[in-house]
Amino acid sequence: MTRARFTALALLAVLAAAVASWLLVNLAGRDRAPAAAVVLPEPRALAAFELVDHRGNAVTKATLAGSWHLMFFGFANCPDICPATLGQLAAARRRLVAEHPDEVPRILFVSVDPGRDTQQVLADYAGRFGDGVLAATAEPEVLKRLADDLGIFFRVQPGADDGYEVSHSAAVLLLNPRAELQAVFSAPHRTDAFVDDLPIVMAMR
Amino acid sequence: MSVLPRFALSIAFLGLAGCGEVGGGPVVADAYGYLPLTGGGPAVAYFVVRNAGDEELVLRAFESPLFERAELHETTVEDGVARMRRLGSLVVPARGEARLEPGGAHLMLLGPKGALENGAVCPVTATFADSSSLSFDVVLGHRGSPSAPEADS
Repeated sequence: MTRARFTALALLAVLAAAVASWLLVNLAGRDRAPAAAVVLPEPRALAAFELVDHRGNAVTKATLAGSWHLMFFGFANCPDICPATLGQLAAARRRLVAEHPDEVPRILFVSVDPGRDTQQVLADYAGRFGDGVLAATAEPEVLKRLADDLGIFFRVQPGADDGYEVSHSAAVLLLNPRAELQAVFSAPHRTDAFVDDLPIVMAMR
Repeated sequence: MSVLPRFALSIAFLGLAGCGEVGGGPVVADAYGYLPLTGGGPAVAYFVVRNAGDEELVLRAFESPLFERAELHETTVEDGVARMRRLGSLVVPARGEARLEPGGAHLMLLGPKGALENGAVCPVTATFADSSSLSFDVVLGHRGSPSAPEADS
């Protein structure tokens, strides 16, 4: 083998390795699968609904369109898992804002306890979790239809000492900017899982 | 069960307490909590009760002068559905501990008697099945405040 041919082959090999590693990093990175989120094969359109948020504004598919939303069903009197989850979502949001300022999902908290969660209560509640949080509710029938549509279970039943017992699905739902269901995060939740998975899922469109 | 009564014991004065019960009696550690998120809503407290003794202890009741009621509750998530139920008691195993932590057992503080500031010191008294009791303080912070680490379970 002549020196020239050897040099050419060596250069070719180096070039091939460079191309291969570029492909590996970029294409594999693009195809990274979310670790926690379950992404629907096709985004699912929702039936029409109308909630009222903590400022008294209507929340409908049309008002949600244009932004990604992380949706969570709960109730303001829940001291443990609801605020913990909202705290995780708010923390994930703060971390994502630094890297993806244009495309950070807003948080939509849907109260299944409209009897106690008045507009004022929801305003207090939403205010605890920083920017980008909508807290909304509706009449029980409206909530039931929306929850059924999303595969969310909830039940409010009278308990001891004038209290209620509220049980609810702890999943966090990701709605895309067409207000379609795109992905589901199941409990138990981790802030890191939202931070890692959201950019991947949002890039899959 | 020990025949010596366990006198109310504040963790703040643990170092000064000279009675023989201290060595084997229960202690509270890692106490923190969150203020109500809405006016009149519940606060929540998390802590660990450690029992160095040879007998299991059963926590039966709690009270705090800052709230109308203090109740033990437990969050469970089964098949993706979160439920909260009231616990009648909580066992602290011999030479073991009971952990009250986010997503599990927790102390619900219901009916705040007055306005509570961020960092409010909330005295809590726990009563055991043998009628002995244990008093400790829980600092209540806003969610997200430095005194209140964000739950991440």
